[in-house]
Amino acid sequence: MSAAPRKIGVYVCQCGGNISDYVDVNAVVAAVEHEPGVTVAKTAMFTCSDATQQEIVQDARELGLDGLVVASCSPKLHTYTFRDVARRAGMNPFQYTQVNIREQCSWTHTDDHAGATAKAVRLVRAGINRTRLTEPLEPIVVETTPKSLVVGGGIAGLRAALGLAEVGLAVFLVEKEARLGGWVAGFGDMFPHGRSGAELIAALEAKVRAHPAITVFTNAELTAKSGSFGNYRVTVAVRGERSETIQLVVGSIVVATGFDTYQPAEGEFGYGLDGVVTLPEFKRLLDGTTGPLQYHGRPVETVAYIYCVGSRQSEDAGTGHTYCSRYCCTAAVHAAVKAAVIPAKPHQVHFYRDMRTYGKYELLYAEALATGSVFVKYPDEEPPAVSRDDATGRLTVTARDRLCGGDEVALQADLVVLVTGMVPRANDDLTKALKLPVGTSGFYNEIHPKLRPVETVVDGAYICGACQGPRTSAESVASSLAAVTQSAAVLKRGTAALDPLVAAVDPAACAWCGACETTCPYDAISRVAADGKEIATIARTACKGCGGCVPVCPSGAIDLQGYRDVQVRAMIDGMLEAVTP
Amino acid sequence: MTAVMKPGLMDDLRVYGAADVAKCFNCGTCSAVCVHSEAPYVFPRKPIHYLQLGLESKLEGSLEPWLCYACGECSEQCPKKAEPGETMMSLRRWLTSRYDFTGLSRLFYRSWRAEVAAIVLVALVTAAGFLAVGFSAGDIRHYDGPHAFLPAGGWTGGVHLFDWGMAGVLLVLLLTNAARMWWFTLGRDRDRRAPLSSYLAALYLLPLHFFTQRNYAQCERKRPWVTHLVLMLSYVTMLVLIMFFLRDMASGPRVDWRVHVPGLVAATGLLAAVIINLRGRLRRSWPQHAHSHESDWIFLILLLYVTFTGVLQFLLHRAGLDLAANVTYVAHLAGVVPMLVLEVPFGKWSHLAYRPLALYFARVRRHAAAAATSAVEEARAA
Ligand SMILES: Cc1cc2nc3c(=O)[nH]c(=O)nc-3n(C[C@H](O)[C@H](O)[C@H](O)COP(=O)(O)OP(=O)(O)OC[C@H]3O[C@@H](n4cnc5c(N)ncnc54)[C@H](O)[C@@H]3O)c2cc1C
Ligand code: SF4
Ligand code: SF4
Ligand code: SF4
Ligand code: SF4
Ligand code: SF4
Repeated sequence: MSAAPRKIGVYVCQCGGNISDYVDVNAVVAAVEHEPGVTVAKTAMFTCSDATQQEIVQDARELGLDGLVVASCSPKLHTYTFRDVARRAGMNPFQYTQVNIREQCSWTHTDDHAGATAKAVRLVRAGINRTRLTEPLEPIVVETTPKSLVVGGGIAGLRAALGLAEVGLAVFLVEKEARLGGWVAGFGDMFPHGRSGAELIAALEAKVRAHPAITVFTNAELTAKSGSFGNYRVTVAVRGERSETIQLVVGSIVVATGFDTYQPAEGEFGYGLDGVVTLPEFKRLLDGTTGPLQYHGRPVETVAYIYCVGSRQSEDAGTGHTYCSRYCCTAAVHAAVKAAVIPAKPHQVHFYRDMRTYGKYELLYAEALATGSVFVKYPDEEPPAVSRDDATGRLTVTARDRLCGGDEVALQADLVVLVTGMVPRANDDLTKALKLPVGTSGFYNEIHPKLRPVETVVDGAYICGACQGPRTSAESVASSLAAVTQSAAVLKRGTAALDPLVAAVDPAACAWCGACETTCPYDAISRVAADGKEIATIARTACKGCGGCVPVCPSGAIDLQGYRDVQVRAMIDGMLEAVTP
Repeated sequence: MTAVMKPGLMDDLRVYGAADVAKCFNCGTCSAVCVHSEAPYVFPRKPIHYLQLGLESKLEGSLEPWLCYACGECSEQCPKKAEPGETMMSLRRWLTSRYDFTGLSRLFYRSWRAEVAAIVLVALVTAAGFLAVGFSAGDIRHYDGPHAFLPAGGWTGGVHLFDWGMAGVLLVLLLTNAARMWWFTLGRDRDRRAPLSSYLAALYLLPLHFFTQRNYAQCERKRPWVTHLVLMLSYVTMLVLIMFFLRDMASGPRVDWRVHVPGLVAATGLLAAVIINLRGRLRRSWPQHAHSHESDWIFLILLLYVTFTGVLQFLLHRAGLDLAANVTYVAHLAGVVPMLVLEVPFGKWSHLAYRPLALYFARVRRHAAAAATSAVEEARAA
């Protein structure tokens, strides 16, 4: 296979000094510009800038480039940018290689400029060697099923189901519990509009139940998923008088399984003492109160709130609850505003760390202040302590007040409310069935918090609501509508395009041993009969291109498109070749 | 030491004029704005926070409210319209009622009706007493000034004796309250005890601040300070004239320029200052006049009444209208006495003692702290 010589363009980025302060980019260009196949090699201040992109397009047109190497930052950042540049320049986007000389050279070897430069030369050479052996690839186009599965029937799931149905997709809603609505269904007045959560959910549920395109399964759980993007086969187990298992085929899966509230341990901030309750417990008490506030038959004259319980814990605690739960400051001041209007208004003292009633919730904080709530700011490293006098039954909260110069203050209270945060729900089976990525805090992870906020690495599986991390209902619904849009964007088109960087079996070489099938984490490999023998076949839409199957094949029958063995070997050769200074 | 919170304190201070303190979100803008706020006496935010938390003992021990001159600058800048200046004012009222052991101050600040009733009662008793004692023997148609109240001749006016007696009572009351103030702010807390040398070193501040209100002059607006200074100096002049030159003051009908000219100047100063303040409060033209507590009105009206009747009886006497002059004089005394026995020890006027004392105590504390630090440093160096 002696092809015409390649015409590769190499662009080495300075990243405005981020790279060029440590890596001698001109030396890199000098070292690689005479490599076989390289037509042009240059440096640029910012390769990703519009001007440089334009320059690449122009070079490609003038010089007839058929391969592109960009040596700049991590491929996580700009793969799609430069694939697009390649496309605009008339090249095949899969004949472009990203080389990371920022994270892997300049930022890592700040103390060794010569070493960083040499390493960059090796990496760029490897990139050129890979590019030289690329073939044009086309995206894999799949037809999609215009149906969607929503897992979780809280406010996020309900709204997503309705949204999907409204854009004309058939929807299956699977809820684990006997009733729909999640947490919000159990709430009375909620911020910011003051409407009852129960009523809100009742209205939403009525619409969902009435919609002909939505099928609701309660007491139901997703137990298995197979198939591939655009056409997932899911198994739903429904409990009840006669338990049954239902098979569905759907184009997308929207996961809205929500959160749990933090459950304090016995003794944590006095939890377990009579009169120490969590915020959800207090909210229930408040929702059921019309007359003067009482707890266990005792009048409540003073309420103490302790914030950040189960949130913003130190790394050293090892609980993983290092994050801010976002909703709780607002929920607590909202509860205080509600408590201030009941007869015999109680005194309310808030022991907080930072007041995070962001955005317009600031108004609620102002209202809490105006209605007499008092705020004591305790130091991060020294949380308040709660004790109870058994004789009087009164609770005492002691804390240091940072706004009093750190002096210790003590408050006698009748009720202590622990403002508990949000924690991830225990949902291991679902996580496993869908192979959803879980972040360090235990919530589901999106691909990119800004640019792809509801997509996951599992194509066609979207996450929304509080299963992604702590958030208010408004934010939960906003993200569920984003998931609707993402689903609709794919499913309404009828087809979807996937990266062709997937594994392929050479039928002549394969003798079906099954090693690859057991290795593949995505169940993409199966056995088929072909030309009188059995061989492995790979579902291109299910393969993620992880490469796991390649080395296990005893016959070397599998190659990864875009990263074929010859390419990888050429890359290694390129790296090992000496660098002459 | 752990300070115990009393969550209702903020509500208790409402009657003293602290209406908006709950709105404060502790940003500290006010403390940054106030020209008088300087470590270790940072205010108004800190005392406001003490108040929100109900840290009664810390508030009692605070000198900060007295270091504020109610210029209102902080209230103008407060992003929450929490009226920090007004809170400082109400804290002064509350502190006054705390220092006062009789409980009268507390009663008056919490109920203007009680204050008015007390003033009227003392006025009536005074008038009745003077009429009964003074004119039982003498002749009301004949003006004899203070001598009219002398049952039978003698060189000292009865009024004069009465003056001094009253001054004694006043002094005792004020001193007792001042002693309580000392106890709350310096004595009670072991850490705040200061050596005698610190007290002596700062002593000069007492007359200095009493007569000049030097710190008030540092506020951005100067007119309030000028008005206040005029009022205070006129008042002191009048006091000196009456305490030491009463006979000459009451002589006449011929004008004795040695006493009458300063008397008239002082009366004019008093009238002008009172009228400016009344007008200001009515129109709310200065920030510190934006909010008026009942006690402010009572104070100003009483002062206006006393000055006016004083001047009137003087004029009537010069005009030879003796009967009218005598009646006016009694009316004048019926105002003076409650003003002195009620307002000075129990009312707004008590600040004439508390403010200079606070400035003095503040310096004592600082002096003692500095001495302690340098002693430690010396010990360390040795
Ligand atoms: C005390 C408190 C007060 C609050 N007050 C307010 C407020 O006033 N205003 C506001 O905006 N927000 C408030 N919030 C936040 C609000 O509750 C959340 O933002 C909202 O509930 C998130 O909705 P969700 O649908 O994502 O999750 P959830 O409400 O948790 O619903 C998730 C649903 O998924 C179901 N589910 C879970 N796992 C599975 C599974 N494997 N299979 C099938 N179904 C599953 C659950 O049973 C549940 O029905 C408050 C929260 C708390 C704790
Ligand atoms: S929202 Fe407030 S209470 Fe909740 S974790 Fe964050 S800071 Fe703490
Ligand atoms: S490359 Fe990875 S995902 Fe694809 S078939 Fe091989 S093992 Fe499976
Ligand atoms: S491992 Fe290789 S030989 Fe074995 S089934 Fe898979 S592709 Fe065929
Ligand atoms: S009184 Fe106003 S300016 Fe002062 S701390 Fe409070 S909110 Fe800020
Ligand atoms: S009113 Fe004036 S003097 Fe008083 S605290 Fe405010 S700024 Fe300072």
